[in-house]
Parts: sequence; C-alpha cells; structure tokens
Amino acid sequence: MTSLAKLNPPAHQPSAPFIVWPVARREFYLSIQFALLPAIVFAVVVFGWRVLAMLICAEIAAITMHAVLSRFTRRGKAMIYTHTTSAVVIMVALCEPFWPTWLVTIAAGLIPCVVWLIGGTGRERIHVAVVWAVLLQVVTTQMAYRTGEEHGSAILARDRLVMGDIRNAKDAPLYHWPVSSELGGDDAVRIALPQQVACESFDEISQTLRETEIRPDPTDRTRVLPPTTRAALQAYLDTVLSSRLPAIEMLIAGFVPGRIGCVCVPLLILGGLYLAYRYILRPKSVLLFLGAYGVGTAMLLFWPTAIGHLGLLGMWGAAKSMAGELVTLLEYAFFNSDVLFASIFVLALPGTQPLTRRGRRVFLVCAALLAAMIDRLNAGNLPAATASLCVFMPAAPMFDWMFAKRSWMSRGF
Amino acid sequence: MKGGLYFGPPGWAPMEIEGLSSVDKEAGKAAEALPEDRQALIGLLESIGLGKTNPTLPSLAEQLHELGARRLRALVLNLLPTQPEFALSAALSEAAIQDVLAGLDAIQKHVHARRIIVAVDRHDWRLRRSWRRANRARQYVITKLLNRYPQAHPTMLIWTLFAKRLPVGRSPVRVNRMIIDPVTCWALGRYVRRGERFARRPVQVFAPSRAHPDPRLVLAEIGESLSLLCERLRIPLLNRQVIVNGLLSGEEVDPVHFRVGPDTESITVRDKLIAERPSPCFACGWCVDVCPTSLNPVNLLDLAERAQNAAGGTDTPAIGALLHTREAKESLHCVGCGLCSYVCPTRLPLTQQTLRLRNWVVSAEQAS
Repeated sequence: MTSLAKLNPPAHQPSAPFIVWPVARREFYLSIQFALLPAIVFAVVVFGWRVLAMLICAEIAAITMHAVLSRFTRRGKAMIYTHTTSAVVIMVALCEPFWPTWLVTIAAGLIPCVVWLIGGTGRERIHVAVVWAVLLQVVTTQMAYRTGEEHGSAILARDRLVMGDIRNAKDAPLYHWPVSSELGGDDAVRIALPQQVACESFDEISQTLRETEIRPDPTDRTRVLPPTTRAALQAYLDTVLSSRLPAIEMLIAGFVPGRIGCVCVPLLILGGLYLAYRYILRPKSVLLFLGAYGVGTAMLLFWPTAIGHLGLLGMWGAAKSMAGELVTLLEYAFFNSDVLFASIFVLALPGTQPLTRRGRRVFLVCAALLAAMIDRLNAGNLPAATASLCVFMPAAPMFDWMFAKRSWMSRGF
Repeated sequence: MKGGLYFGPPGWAPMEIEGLSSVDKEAGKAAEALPEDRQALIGLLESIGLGKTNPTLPSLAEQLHELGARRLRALVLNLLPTQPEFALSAALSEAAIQDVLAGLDAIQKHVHARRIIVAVDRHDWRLRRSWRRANRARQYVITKLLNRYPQAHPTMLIWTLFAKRLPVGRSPVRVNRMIIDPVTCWALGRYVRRGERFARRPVQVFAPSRAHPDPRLVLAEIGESLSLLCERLRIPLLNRQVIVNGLLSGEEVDPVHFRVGPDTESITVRDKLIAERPSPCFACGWCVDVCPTSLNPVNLLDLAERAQNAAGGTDTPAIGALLHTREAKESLHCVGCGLCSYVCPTRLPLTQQTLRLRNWVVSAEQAS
C-alpha cells in the first residue's frame, strides 16, 4: 500500500477536490468503537465487573504505551489514538470473560508497539487486535491445560448481574438461568457453550448414522434408516433440545456464555446498521460472508463417513426426518459463534478485505468456508470466523490482483 | 453506473437569475432564422460566440462538425446538475424555458434525431414540473435519473441511457448521440427568438455572506474579469480563494487574470482552508467503491509515484515501460470527478496523481 514516505512533493499542491468528506481516520475508528459500545456494555451486565476491569486496564496500558511512543519517537507521531483504542476494544470483545486481566493488559500494551514496529497506522496488512485475540486464545488454552484450572463457560446468576464475579461459578445440572441461592451463594453458573453442544449433537448423530444397519432393498432409497434408529435419534435430539440448550430467545438476547462482545445478537446487528449507515461497513459483504458460512456449516453438518455409509439419498431422507431439530441446532451453532461479530466488526476494520468487488467476493466466500470448517472441527475453542479472516487477510492484495475486473470502460475497446 | 455518490438535490431553493428577467422584458430584435446548411450553421455559431458552454462537453459546433451527414439516433438535453448544489438547469427551466425550448427545436431541425431525450434529476420536482408542462405539446422523452455525481458527465450519461461506452474526452457523436446542455439551448434560443449574441451567460456564484447566505445565479459578461464581476456583486476577494467550476473538479484561479468564459459555470469565493496532511493508505476501499468507472485509484497513485520516481532518476526506459502497462492505461478512463480524493479518509491526492498519470500515458502513446 501507498506510504507517505513514498509520496513525491508535488502531490501536496492544492488542486481539486477543494472539499473533503468529513470522515478522516479518527472518525473512522471512533465509529467502530461507538458501534461496539452497546455490545460491550451488555457484556458487563451479563459477565460482571471483571469485563469492565479488563477493558479499563487494557485501554490504560495501550494508551500509556501509545503516549510514550508518540512522545519519544518520530514514527510514533504518525500513529493515532483512536486506532489504538479501537484495536483494544476489538481485542477485548473477542476475549472470554474469565481470562486473566493481566494477560489481556499485556497484550493490549503490546498493540501500539507492534503497530509502531510495522511502520504506523495504516501499514498493517493484518489487524493486530484480531491476531492478538487468536493468539490469546491459544495461550489461555495452554495455561489452563498446564495449571489444570478450568473455568469453562459461564454467565452470572440472575440476581448477580453487573456486580457478580464470573470466576465464582458453579456447575448446573440442567440448563436454566438460576438465581444465586440455587447455586449455594455463588455468583455465576457454569454451563456448556450452546455452540459446543450443537456440534457434539451433530457428531453424535453422524456416529449413529455411520453405525446403523441399512434396511435391505427399500423401495424408497431415501428411507434406508430402520425405524428403531429413527426413534433413537429423535429421542436423543429431544433430550438435547429440552435439557442441554437454553431457550432460543435467551440465545438471541445474549444471556448465554460466550465471548465478551459476541453474545448479544440484536446489539451486534444494531452496531452493524450504524456502521453501514456511516458507509464503514458494506452490507453486501456481511450478507455474503454469513451466507457462505451458513452454506459451509450445512455442508459439513455430518461426517463424510456417515454420508458414505448411507449414500446421498439415504442421508437426505435421514436429514428430512429430523429437519426441524437440525435447523434449531444450526441456529445454536450459528448465533453462539463469533461469525456475526467477525462479519460486522472485523470486516469493518480497514484493510481486512480486498479493495475490488470481485476480489472481495471470492475472498469472503473462501474465508467463510474456512471458518465453517474450523468451527465444525473445533467448536467454540477458537474464534473461527476471526481466525479464518486472520489467515486470509495478508492475501487480500493477491485476491485483488487475481480476480479484479478491469474498469468497465476498458472492455470493448 | 455502479460508483458515484448521491448528494441529493440542491439544499437551497433556486432563485431567479439576477439580470435575466429585466433582459427578457426588453424589446428584442426580430426572430432570426437559422441557415439550412450545416457548415453555415457552424459558422454562425462561431460568429455569435456560442462555443463550449460546459467544461466536460464538446461545443455544439464541434458535435455538428463531427456528425457530418450521419443520422443521429438521439439528441439528449442534459439537465442534470454537473456538480452537487448546482441549480443552473432548474433555474433556466423555471425562468427561461421558452428560450431553451426554442434552442432545442432549432437544433432538432438540423440534426433530425430519431428522438429527443430530456435527462432530469429524479428528485428535483421543480425541474420535472417545468418540463412536464412544457412537454404537453411536444414529443420529448423525459427520463428521470438518479443524479449520483458524476452522472452528468457525458461518458456516464451515455452509459446510463444507452449502455454505450464513450471514451473519456470524446464527443458523444462517436456513438451517434448528441448531448447538449441547457445553456447552449438557451443561448441558441435567445438568438433565434431575439437575435442576441451569446455575450452573457448565467453563472452560479457561491460566496456566502450575511446578505446572501445562499448561492446566487447571475448573468455574467463573457470576457469580463473575475475581479470586476466580484466587485459588481460586492464580494470581497482579499485573502480569499477563488475556485471556478465546482469544488469537486474545478480549478483555483487568479481573479485578476481570469476572465469569465462561455464554459464558466460557477464561481466559488471562500476563505483559504489549511489542507490536511496525507497519511498512508489504510485500505478502506472507499475510493474504489465510489469510482464511477471502476478504477482502483490507490493503485494508480502508486503507479504515478513509481513513474515519477523513475523519471526523477536516470531510468528513462523504465518509465516508458511502466506507462505502457495495462494498469497505467486504466488511467485513461478517469473522468476526473474528484470523488476518490473527496472520500479518502487519509487525504491522499488520488485524483491529482491519476490525472497526472493519464497525461503521462497520453504523452507516451503520442511519442511512440
């Protein structure tokens, strides 16, 4: 990308246009923070004061480091504060609420340093905050593995919102949202991630289908499953949907465990609408990414071995017999993942996708399919959509180069 | 058109053109008949001073000359504002529509176009109302277009109306269409109806003051010094910037030496602004999104910088090779609308460098 150092002096001479759009870099990043603010506030309500502490500590660390760099170095003067603060907000939004604050603070303090090292704001081909969020996930997983300290996924009890401690959690046998007295005075309830439960259910169904005996010579090839298998699958799905997963309205409203900024669907959509109104987010990109992710998830719903065992027609018949339950499980897998967050806030960050229309389309489809694959293989353990965009981001200019059409004026001459 | 930017209709009510109404009331000469012969008409247009009345459009005489003996498929009267906040078309349609119609009919008598299209802004209801009334006794096709700037540019207009690719800077007659602007029609109509030469033209003046917070439409003498015009209009010029033909794609001029020409559409007088310092591109993609011809302006900026660096050194063959690449030749399709620089959040001089690259490419092609 073009750097200021390369610009030749005559380019600074005044000429048309003599007016500029009032949105400069600062307003660009401020808008992203502003759009993300409601989702973060909601996370403070559901996950408690630790989230607020994490955000404040991270912001202070990053701003201090930024101030030092911009005070004492020449390159640091070209950096802008809103870029640093928005990077921190994005990173915190992708963290899990029980992660150690000191670790997130150190990571936040390093953001301005890395931006400074690569040449200042606008020189990054891959967004530092997004990379940091993925790396933090790996580090915290390793730390939990070594220390044996497992927090799992949790939300605060109904009467401990905002002021409760998310780490003071207790397991709950059934999925409902308890009050503190039901937890023996603890602040939070530890429950399974809906996305993980959904993916485990898909695995379980695949396992059953793979091991089932096919009916010999059925007249209708879509009905190869014996009635006993169908009944067993139906009973399993009923158990999962009734006792292991929250109500769908709780999932949509965001009263479920998950990453800090990714749980509340309406507020994420609200932020996306605001960004689209400010022209920062391209709605078509979001829809394409979500659509490709949905198609990818649907394609990878069952194991290839199960499909091979039943055949395509047999699998179609099996899926049809439990279509309603599968769609419901897909909803849990979709809304509890980070895909909505990534498609709105990561794609809103400048430089995260190719510049040209066709390059962008191919890029988004590829990234979404990879995200669906990661999510299916590693449900909930990694922010799949964010990680997938991270993988593709450095290759964005290549997509421009390979797939960009020439100007429509060039064609036909 | 995929790119462009919608600015909406002017945010001010177009007033009458200062000086026009009094001229209209004067008793004119007898009506003048236009010569039947094409060459004689071209000569007449030159003799009455009716030249290029729009910065992006060839003059009527040039278009007639290029047309030759061909039959025209369509004659387009372009009433779309050429810049945001321009209201010249609306004001002419309101105040002097009979002159405009007379001019349009006179041109049609010569070119015998199969149809006459009047392109109007979809959201300018005053303009639409005026032309709906005027069209009751005529057979014009009134086409309502969404005026995404630079929709009024001939290349964009031909693409939107006829899906034909008109190379930038070429005459629309190349694709068997003719585009005329309302000022040409108005001037020709005045000659036909009153025998008046094209000595004055309507100009939009943006110089916000307490007395005139909105822009003004005035009749300016062609050839009149800009400083004299401003003095007449009581616009102070000291330490102020004067921009001609719009803020998005116009040019800054010296008011003492600059004279109002037939193609001077607007004059803006404002306090000088401190330009923001450009910073590195952070790949937001806005310039690519708004470009009406689907160029990649930041890529062209890079090419221009590389070409300039190569030219500054000793590697002359390198710049030659660079300017003959397909990427560099894309700059020939830049219409110079200025939108890429306008929207750039990092304030990069994208339009300026693209136009510079275009000039180098043209020079390189001519040299080879």
